[in-house]
Amino acid sequence: MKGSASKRLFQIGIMSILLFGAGQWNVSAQDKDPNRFNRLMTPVSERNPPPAEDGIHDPDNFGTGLLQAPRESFATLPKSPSGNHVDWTKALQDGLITPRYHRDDKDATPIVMDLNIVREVKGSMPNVVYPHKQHTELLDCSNCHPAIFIPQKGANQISMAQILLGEACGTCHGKVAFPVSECRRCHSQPK
Amino acid sequence: MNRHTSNAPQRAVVWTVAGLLLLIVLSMSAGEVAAPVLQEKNQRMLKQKMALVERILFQSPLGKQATQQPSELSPDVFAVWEFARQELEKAQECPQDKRCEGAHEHLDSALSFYRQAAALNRSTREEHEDFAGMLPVLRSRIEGYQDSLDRIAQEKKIALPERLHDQQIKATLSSAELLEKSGDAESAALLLQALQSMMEHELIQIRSGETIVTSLEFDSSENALEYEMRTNAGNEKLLLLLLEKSSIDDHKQRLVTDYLQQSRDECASAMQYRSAGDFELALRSLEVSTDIQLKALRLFGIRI
Repeated sequence: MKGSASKRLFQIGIMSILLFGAGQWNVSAQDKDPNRFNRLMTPVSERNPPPAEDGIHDPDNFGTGLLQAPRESFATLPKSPSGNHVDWTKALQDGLITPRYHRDDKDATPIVMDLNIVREVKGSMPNVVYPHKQHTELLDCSNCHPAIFIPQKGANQISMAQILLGEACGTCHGKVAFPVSECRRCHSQPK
Repeated sequence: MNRHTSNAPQRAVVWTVAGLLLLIVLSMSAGEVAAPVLQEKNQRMLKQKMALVERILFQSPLGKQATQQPSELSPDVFAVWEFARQELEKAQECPQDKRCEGAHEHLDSALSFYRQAAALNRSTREEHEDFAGMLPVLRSRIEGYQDSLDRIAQEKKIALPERLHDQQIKATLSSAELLEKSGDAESAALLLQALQSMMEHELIQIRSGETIVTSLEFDSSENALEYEMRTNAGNEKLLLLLLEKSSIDDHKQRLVTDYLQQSRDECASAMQYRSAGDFELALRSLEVSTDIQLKALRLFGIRI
């Protein structure tokens, strides 16, 4: 009995080490062999492909080759579960990125507005909290007002269908900001 | 109990610890491998930046003119472009095999000089057009801010600073108009930008730290019905787009089409009740219609 238990313990130990070790290895994008060892784990290498392979940049353009690959520049930034897998708000808060706020004046500072808008929603989903602070740290007032959102309480009706159609919040979210697959990032105020 | 069985637990522990140590050693050596890779990355970035700056200085329209027909450029523009070229040369002198901070600074200077040369090279007419183009946008923003400030001041029963009173704003707008008519679009734009900036700061000060709640409690059934109608219309638009662009099997396609028809029928009933003045019943019918639309959306994997 004791012998088989220790044998089992030994086997579990070796398997744990091997699985843990396998998780640390970074599989290159070219290594799509279906028989590779960690094929069931999502390869990090397939996220944020280089500009020449991302389907957005022209691979034949000289400038494309000069662009820094996102994977390199994002490596040290806080992670996010979706989108381009970077938590840009946290990166800004932690001082890991220092965006330039004016094309000509490198010392310009953003005009940050600390105003929260709570939008009640139907059903059991938590209410939406829109924080101006995190948005105005990256955007100017004119990016949204008045073209996308009229700056008046009750003047803007927003639905999920609109957002998925690329209107209202969907003007940015799902394109250049985190996608709407992370419900709780917006629906954050429990009822 | 024999000797082998009694040693088995110790052997298991030894093998497990050995495996962990091996893993630690491997990850440490991976860290050492990363350091030369990082240097190589820095060198590559420097090389790329140098190639880009060289391309901008010599391949841009200004660069081509400076190299092929320098006499056609004004002496000031050529002199500044020449500074940019010299900074690039200094950057290119930096050794390629080391992390060269100086090179980056020279390249940044080269770009800065080039920008100045490009700015000097622009004609006065082009500049005027730029500023003149900004004026309508600035005016509409100022009007929007004025609206917001007046509304907020009324809501909170506060007095705005004198410089943001309607009369003062009107006076500033008139001054800007006069400047524009006299051909000085730049001064007009600067005046309006300053006013815009003041208004933004005031708005931020007034609203800072607040939370505004947009409630779903409507003051009448009619308003609630209008809200539901817009939601319903949005869902229908999304469904039609998904039907057109998404690929689902025939069975699901038929289901979606059926649901769409059912929701439209409910919507039509709702509109009849609305015409008859019964907004409560209209709202209930429309909510049924929206629920059917949500079922259809779920067939596309969209859960909203």
